[in-house]
Amino acid sequence: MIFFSGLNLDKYEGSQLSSLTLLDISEGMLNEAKRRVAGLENLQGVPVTIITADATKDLVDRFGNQSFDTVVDSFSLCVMGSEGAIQCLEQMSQIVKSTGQVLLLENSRSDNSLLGIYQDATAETAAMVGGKGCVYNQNVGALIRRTGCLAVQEERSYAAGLFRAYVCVRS
Amino acid sequence: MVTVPMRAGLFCLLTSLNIPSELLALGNPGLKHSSSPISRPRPPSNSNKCSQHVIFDKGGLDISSPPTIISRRLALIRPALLWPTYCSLLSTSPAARALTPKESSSQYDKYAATYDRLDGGGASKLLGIDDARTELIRRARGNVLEIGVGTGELTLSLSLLHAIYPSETFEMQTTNSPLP
Repeated sequence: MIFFSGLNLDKYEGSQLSSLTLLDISEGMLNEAKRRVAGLENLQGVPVTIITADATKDLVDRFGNQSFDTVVDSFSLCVMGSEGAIQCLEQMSQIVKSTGQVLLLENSRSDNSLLGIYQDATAETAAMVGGKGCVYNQNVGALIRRTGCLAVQEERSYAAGLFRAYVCVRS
Repeated sequence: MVTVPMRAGLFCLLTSLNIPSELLALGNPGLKHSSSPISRPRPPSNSNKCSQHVIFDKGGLDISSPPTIISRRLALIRPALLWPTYCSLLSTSPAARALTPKESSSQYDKYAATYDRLDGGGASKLLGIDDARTELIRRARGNVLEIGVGTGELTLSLSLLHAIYPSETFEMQTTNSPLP
């Protein structure tokens, strides 16, 4: 069985990590991630800290400026809405080092125009009824640009743009 | 009458994108064609909060058992009803909303540890999410912070599921048992 939470955890190259801090607003989800960490060989020897906090406003207060070499988020911005996503990106831009990177994997509006229109027409209802609050047609690139403090170094589109990976640095 | 072309359109789109039709089933047997008009997964009578079963509280998920006429009519007019929202989302207006932090906390607490079908396996592999994760996360180095550890592509999977079956309500049995 693969748990819902902590799906990135087995992807980390433990030898490259000095520490790993896992943060979520949901304690229940973090409990699942914590269970998962305990069984992962790739994270053996890596100091792991688990914190319950709101990523849209708590990061800078909690960690201070330029605290991390890498900040990772996957599929969370859609749950925060546009305003919350921008706030979160701004927080991330402050806590990442000037030599660091922000790695994002996010739901996004498709490059396929028909599929994009379909996403637009169904996004709200899908988010409120089926999608657990996830608005899955965000223009993530536009949100990153709106922060004004992150620059996209690399972008890769998957499944016709239904989701995308971004490597960002401080601008 | 209306949802059929909507579904057909999405099937065509996903097919044109080389996304296998199995994606639409998302690992749920109730979504596959069946000779039985009723294929409704039900919670076990003695279900408890630790159950790993995904529960669909309206079981009409079988393609041979389409939604009611009322639902089809609602589906017909929904794009028009959603137009203001569509415009606001396109403009990434601050009014665009998903969940408040408080709602996220309480709701995702409930979703934790509850799936084995709409998991990170089938759907994510079909869409290429698993490979994308591997490719991106291997770049992490030094002191690493991962936010939103609990959220994941399940939101995408459920959103697609609801888009295909607009009249259905999908719920997952929940648990939020703390670690000892």
